[in-house]
Amino acid sequence: MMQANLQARAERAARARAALLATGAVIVAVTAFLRTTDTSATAEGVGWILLMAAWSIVLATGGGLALSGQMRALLNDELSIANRGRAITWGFFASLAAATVVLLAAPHVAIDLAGGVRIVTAAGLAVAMLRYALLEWR
Amino acid sequence: MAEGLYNRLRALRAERDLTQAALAEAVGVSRKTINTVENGVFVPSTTLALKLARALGCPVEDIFSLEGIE
Repeated sequence: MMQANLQARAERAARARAALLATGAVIVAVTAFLRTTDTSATAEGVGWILLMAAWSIVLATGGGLALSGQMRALLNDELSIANRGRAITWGFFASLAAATVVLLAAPHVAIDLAGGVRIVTAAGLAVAMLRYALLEWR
Repeated sequence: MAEGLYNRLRALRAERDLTQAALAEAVGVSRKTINTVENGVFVPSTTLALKLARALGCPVEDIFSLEGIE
């Protein structure tokens, strides 16, 4: 019974993580477009870097650092790790696509370096997070 | 489903009257992982395949085989 409870709790935690990552993907995507000036050397720029770092850590580790070892092992079993790999592949290609769009748009739209970097990194991270959330949810 | 890979995990588990959760617990993975293996959505690692065989008390070839090679 206790084992079944652990499995049930792990499933609920996995769903919660998927919901969190989907929400995080939206936050990352929206935040990338909220900037109006060159923020590369400002507090907002540092905040952006911290935001990206935090979500990258969640994506890379599977999160749940406060959970027990047994629970973390279930949450990050080989299916979950494989799903992360697939999601990060999607993120990589999304970054390439975003970089291409920025490159093509540059002659027509004023995009500074910091803005371009934000778009490229946000696209990669948000797509990877969303893809991982979908794979974990189904 | 992985092309050419056939598995009898669901049938063997049922023969032993095990739930997906019980088998998952025995091999240290989530119930979802067992479910995706049974449905052919996920191909497990060699390590997990061997753990499944040990938990079910049968050779790994009884669980997984290449289609057309019995």
